[in-house]
Amino acid sequence: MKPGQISETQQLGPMSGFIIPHTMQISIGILSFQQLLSKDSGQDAWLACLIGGLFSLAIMWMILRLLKNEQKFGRADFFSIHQRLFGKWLGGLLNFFVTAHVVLFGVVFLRSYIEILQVWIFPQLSVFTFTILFCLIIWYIVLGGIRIVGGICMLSFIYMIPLYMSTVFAVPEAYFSNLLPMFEHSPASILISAFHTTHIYLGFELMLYFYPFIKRPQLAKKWCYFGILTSMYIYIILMLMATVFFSRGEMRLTIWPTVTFWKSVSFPLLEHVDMVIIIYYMWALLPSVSMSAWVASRFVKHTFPVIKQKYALVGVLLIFVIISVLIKNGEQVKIANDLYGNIGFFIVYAYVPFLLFYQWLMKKVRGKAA
Amino acid sequence: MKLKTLVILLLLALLSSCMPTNIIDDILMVEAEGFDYIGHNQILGTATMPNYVQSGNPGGQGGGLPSTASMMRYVSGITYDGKSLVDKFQPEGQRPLKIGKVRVMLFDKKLAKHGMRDQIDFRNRDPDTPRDLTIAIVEGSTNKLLTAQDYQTQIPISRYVQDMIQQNNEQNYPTSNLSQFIYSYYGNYMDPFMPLIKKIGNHLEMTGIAIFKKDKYVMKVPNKDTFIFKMLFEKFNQGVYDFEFAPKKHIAIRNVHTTINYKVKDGNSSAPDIYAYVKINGQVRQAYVGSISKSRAYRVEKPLEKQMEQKASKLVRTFQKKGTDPLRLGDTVRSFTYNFDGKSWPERYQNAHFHCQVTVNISQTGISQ
Amino acid sequence: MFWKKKRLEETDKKNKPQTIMDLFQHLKENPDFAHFQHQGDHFSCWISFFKTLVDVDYVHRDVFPCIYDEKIHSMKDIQEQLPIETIIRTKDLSMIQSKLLEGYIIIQKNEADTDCLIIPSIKIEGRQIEKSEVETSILGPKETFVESLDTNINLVRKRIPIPQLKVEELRVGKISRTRVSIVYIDGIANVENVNTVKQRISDLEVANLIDATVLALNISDNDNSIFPQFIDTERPDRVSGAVYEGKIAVLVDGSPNALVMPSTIVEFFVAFDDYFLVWHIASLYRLLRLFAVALSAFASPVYIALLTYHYQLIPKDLLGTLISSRSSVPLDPVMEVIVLEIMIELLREAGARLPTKVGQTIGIVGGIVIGTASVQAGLTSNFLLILVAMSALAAFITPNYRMATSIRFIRFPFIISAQMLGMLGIAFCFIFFVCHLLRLTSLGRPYIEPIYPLRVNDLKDSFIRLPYNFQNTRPMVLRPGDVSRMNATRTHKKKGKHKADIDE
Repeated sequence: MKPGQISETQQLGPMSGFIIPHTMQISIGILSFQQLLSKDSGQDAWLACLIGGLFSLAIMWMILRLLKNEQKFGRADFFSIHQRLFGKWLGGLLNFFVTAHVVLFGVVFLRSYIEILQVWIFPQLSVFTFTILFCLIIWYIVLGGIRIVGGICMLSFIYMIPLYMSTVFAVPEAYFSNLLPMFEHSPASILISAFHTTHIYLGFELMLYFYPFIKRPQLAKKWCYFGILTSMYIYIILMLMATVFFSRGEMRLTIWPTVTFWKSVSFPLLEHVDMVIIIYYMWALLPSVSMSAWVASRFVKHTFPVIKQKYALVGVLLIFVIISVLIKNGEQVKIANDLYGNIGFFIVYAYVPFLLFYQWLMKKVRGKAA
Repeated sequence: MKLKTLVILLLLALLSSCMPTNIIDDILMVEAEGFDYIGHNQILGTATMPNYVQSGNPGGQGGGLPSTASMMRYVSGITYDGKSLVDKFQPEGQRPLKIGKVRVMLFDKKLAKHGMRDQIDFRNRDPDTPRDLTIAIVEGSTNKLLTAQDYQTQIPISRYVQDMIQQNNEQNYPTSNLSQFIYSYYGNYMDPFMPLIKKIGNHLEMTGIAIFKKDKYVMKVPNKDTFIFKMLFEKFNQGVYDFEFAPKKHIAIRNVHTTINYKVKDGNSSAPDIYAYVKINGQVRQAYVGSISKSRAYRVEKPLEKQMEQKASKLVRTFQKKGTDPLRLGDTVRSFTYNFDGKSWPERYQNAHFHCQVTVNISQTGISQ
Repeated sequence: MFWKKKRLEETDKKNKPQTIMDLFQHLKENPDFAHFQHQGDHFSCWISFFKTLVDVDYVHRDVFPCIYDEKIHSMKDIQEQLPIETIIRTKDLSMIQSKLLEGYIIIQKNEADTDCLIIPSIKIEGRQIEKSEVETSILGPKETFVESLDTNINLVRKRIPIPQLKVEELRVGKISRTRVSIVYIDGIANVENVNTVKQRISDLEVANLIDATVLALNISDNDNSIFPQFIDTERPDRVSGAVYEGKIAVLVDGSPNALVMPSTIVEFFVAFDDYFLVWHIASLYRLLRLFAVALSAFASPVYIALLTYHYQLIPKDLLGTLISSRSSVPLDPVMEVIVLEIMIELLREAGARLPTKVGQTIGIVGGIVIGTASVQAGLTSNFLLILVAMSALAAFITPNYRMATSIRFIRFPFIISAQMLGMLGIAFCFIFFVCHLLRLTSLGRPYIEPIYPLRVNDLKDSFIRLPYNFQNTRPMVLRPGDVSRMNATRTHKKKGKHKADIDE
């Protein structure tokens, strides 16, 4: 076995190219993105979802290209690319920044979820208690290795399907005239909304970290695109659902349209479905946070090979707990979310294309030298 | 390994710091709330809690509480507008009061005229309030309606009110619940409405629809016009329309299916044209003797259509005069118009031309000729 | 750990007889040990055996007449004349000892002579093959394994009459040296799996091995998991079905259970009857069992969570019933549930331990006491009673007893976490169990296989059972040596083209 190669028993099947990026994208943003998008583009916000999704597809193509080019130089992941292209120190620093973003990814979702829990179900729930409990579970998952994280993603995908299906309950009470007139908004305002979709589409870039763990990556390629298309489809459906279900003014006031929608639905044997759904959403949260913990602990292992990943993991989870506790109120959660979205936009939609270009440049330069 | 597990278990036990519990038989669940405006931003609030324990435990002649252990039935008191009644009444509560299962909220006409901004804002903010809550305006005092003891029925008043309104919503009354109300209240170019109820003697009655302009009550659609209102508002399939084709001569049509379609022309002009196409598929339920038979059914259709069209136009005319839009015509115009001019809409609404075309099809006339 | 092992070795050494005389000396203390000299005219020898282990009839009827015969002059003659297929001649002391203790006859020329003939004459004492009692079925074969390994292998072999059926024998137990057989079909079973099983069994360090379930506990992948990782069954038909699939069966002498490995979690919810019913019905039964498991794990925790924290979720029409039935109960929902669960658990345990006749009485008495008296005494509510009884019933729908007990146990963590954090606690507990299942392996193969890793192909015989003409590949989880069960094109070809009646 070549050094840097991962044994087959530790690897994921090609299908995970579909499951993992998709479940990374689906997380807490799904509950609240409609408000933000409809602010600028009203009933045309679904177009913004579409545009955001197509952009993400293009970025996915770049990511796969980047990784494929890298394969002949050893292990093809973000950390190795950085170190190869920028040297040990600068590369290490860049690795630190991107990892910090991934940690933010996990923490922001975790903290937003706690906020929702506190608002909707348990006002008295302590952030500390919840994060500790949650991190214990994350610890248990990540300790099982990437395959278990992949399994959690898989199950999360399966468990979420009924929730997507449930949007049909909006149909009897829908006002489809809310979607009319179509294409009313200017391209500029739709693009602004499309910019806001970064928050929900982010997550697929984690492909950069776990790519070496995918068996037969060339097979996984089409699954990757398919995963993003699925997320896009789900977001468009949810956006349409919120548009037809809420009047414009109502949407402006509703912080979590998806949950409020659920609050209006009731079954003969179950009322206040919103509470069940919120707790059920823990499954959407689980893959993102565990993957984030996995990536962060992997960064530690990559940079300081002395430290075993299982010890690094404990440190990472402690950081999760500390940051979560430090975020005190809803306003700070919002700030953290914005920070995460903006940095993510920069890293994924600007830096990744640059990196691809730089890689190509280096190939030319070094190719000539050699 | 053992030690680690033990530490984790201990941690779990410590962490689950006591969450406040709501054990169902140790709380009082408010099922109906009533608000009476008494001037100067003060309201008289009433909350009722059903007394489930009254019947006792059928099998439980033995130990425990006596089977007649009865709870408080209602509380009432004066507070400022927009205050959560549960918090206000807690000091009077025998047990913690909880709002999560509230079914009905009633407001009196005076409060509706005063404006319900604070009330609605609070309901929309509270995660505990269900969205399918039944809301209604009471003619008279809500306090009296909720606390009266002389009803024919023994079931809790909250349930009585809710059942009545919900089943009427499926027939001649337009669908109304908190969700609908909030939709119209916060939506642009539309106004909300609520059903009107009244206590008459030993029972309750629906008396019409209360139409709002934003948060203030402006007018009432009487009981006899609710079919017309609902016909223009949504498609439905269970109403009954009483047609007086000649003085004192009635035919009652049971609606089998009604659909409504809107078309708008010149949405941004100073006087937009709104076309409403209504299709009614109906059965004759009762008829003045000799006025109708299977072969002559079509003869009734034309005058019926005409009357309905007139009534609909008149209803919309009234709404326009009052400047209120419970039929969401403004929103319909918006959806048909690119770059809809929303600012001038309130004035243009008054001038809008409403055209209504009703097509009635009487499919059955009953089992006898 | 270390010194324990050492001590064991020492004691072994001490007890080990040095010469054959030592051995006899040692064994003579047993009253059922026969050790005597046969003094014939032509030939004399020493014969020794355990009267209780050998088939005395057989010895008297067939062995002794032959040895006492005139034609016999030497040990070699016995070996040639005795009408038995295998007569071992050895000088190995440990072998002599173990054979002696298994019911063989030892024949020596002189008492102190190590050179012996070992003649098999084992008495097979045991139950007849009986109808299944643990895994009962209405349709299909009723035979079950018994406590004798040879009979059990016979039961399997007659269902798999092919030369490729391999039966490998190992000895387990430092003291007991119990016979353990590994049964599989060569060429179908995965070689890696077979090697893993062999290695795990031969590496096993135990003093004795009483039952197959003990073996299962000792060689499972995760010893601390509450979920059994190998199926134990008493049905030979189930074992041979599994062996045909490419699984490995392990039989232990003295145990009426066979282990089937590797297994996935869904197989624990498969009753063998499912294969005897038409596929729609079989699939429905399987889904029913799955639902039962969910019900039994979640019914009482959800009751606690709803009544303690989330009163909002209870349907309006149910509120009255719930509150009035709970109004005379002084306990919190959680205590109420625990009291009732423990009562049911006591009843179950008592029913299992008591003799059948008394057990029935206890069942009735318990049913009445719990059913009405506890409600009337205001200890529990009517509503909960129904829930708990239903979930107790549901837990035992699981065909496998070990899995059923796991399912029974699972609710207690759920109950505690539901009391701590309501629905959130239930969710936490559920996630924990799911992660645990994700991490579990059976013989190194993923435990919840058709779901993760997702193998759509294997779903055909998991939660649902598709018709037999869909079942022409063996489960992928086993990585069988031969993937296809039968020729796929031929199975799909129908017996003669069926013509629709409307076309005459």
